[in-house]
Amino acid sequence: MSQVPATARHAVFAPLEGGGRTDAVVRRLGEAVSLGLLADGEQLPAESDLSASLGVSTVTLREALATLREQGVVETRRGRRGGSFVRSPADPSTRRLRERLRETTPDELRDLGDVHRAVAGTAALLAAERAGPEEARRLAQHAGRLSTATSAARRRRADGRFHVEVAAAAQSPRLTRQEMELQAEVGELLWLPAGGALDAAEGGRQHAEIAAAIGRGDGPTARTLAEEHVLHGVEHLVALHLRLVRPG
Amino acid sequence: MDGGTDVERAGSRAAALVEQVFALVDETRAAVLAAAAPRRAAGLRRVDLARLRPLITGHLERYARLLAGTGVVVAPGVLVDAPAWLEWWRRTPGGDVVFLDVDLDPDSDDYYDFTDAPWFTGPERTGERAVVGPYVDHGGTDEYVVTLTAPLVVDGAFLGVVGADLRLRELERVLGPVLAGLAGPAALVNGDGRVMVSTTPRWLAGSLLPATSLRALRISRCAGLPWRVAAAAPA
Repeated sequence: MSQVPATARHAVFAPLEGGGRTDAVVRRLGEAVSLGLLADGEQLPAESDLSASLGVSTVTLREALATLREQGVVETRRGRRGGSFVRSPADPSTRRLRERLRETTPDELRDLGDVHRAVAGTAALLAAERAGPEEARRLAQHAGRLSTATSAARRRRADGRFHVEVAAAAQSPRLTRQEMELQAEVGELLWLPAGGALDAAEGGRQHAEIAAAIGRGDGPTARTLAEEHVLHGVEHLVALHLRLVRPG
Repeated sequence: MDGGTDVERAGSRAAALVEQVFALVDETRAAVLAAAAPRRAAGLRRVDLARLRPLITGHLERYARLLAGTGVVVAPGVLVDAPAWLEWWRRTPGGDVVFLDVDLDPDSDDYYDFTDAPWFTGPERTGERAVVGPYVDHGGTDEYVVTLTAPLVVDGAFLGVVGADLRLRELERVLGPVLAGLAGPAALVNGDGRVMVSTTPRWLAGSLLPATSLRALRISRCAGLPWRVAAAAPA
């Protein structure tokens, strides 16, 4: 297994940009665990040190740690040898995904994203033209599933399913097959397990907006929203890749 | 009596085609009911449905291009040796007859949950035949199809459905020439006003004809179906 570059690890605890919000801390640490930058069983710095290096208040840090404990990403032990410890038993598939993400260059991610934008954008445009009330109702229902999904695998399924349903609502078997293939390639990277994946609530909100535009019959807006949604995912993957490969 | 107007005759042809397919579906249904009756106490098994294979695949041979697939979809909890089951056979575009192997594990990523599909819930709730689509059957055949289904009921208990998938492109091939015989642009549309077969590029298959447009056309319902033939009055 490749060594994590020292600067990649160092960046985990560097000051957060834009002020210290709890969810930013959750995301930073959660992603680090997803990416394997923090190892299973590793002890996090003491709360005072960690909050200082991240540039957040101890209150914010404790809130974030509480969330990470709820997510099962961190566990806190009290007592003499107490502290916060990373929980990330890296199963083979997660290791494989990290490797894949490390080895896929930003340009390849961008190119994959270009095709995905074309497919998802056109599918949304056509769905807006061709979906009847029943299809629109189905889409709204599927849009609601991402933010309520309870595991990385379920989030991945909900995300992919929504996009496939949009292509089906467009009445196009070819676009539907394309979308299924793209989801197979990119879906598992977008929804890396152990926290720090795409923000499911934000993704669900974007799905709902796309579904609403389709329901209104507003093709151009549906297309733009779908393209932006895909672009958001591409940017996220590029950012993750860059964090993994910071020169040592 | 010349058998009605031209749109009415076209509507009758469409209805007749669907009836031909339902006749096959009814043969399968009779065979399933015959297999189910003696098994009532011991319970129905996959092997009981497997005995229907020659009948089912025979239908696929007889209607080689029109049928994308046909068979039996068993409701959850009916078979004693499987939670759910599809005894459904496809004829691929390449001509191979294959078993439709779908993922029936509810925890799987690719779980094929047919229990909320209109072609299943329709007969389940109403006890009537269903004619559904056209739609993209993703996770099943992945083709653009119209699905016909009929309920399987034994002693008032719903066991599932028997049905057939028609490829839309084959409906176009058969009914296109029928519509072409009408004066002016014509289309076969489903209950939502969605175009299935059309003689003009202005009405593309898959698109919705708004109610306002339909009102301006000569319409004939297809007997027993939610479909209509619509034609523009000749100039």
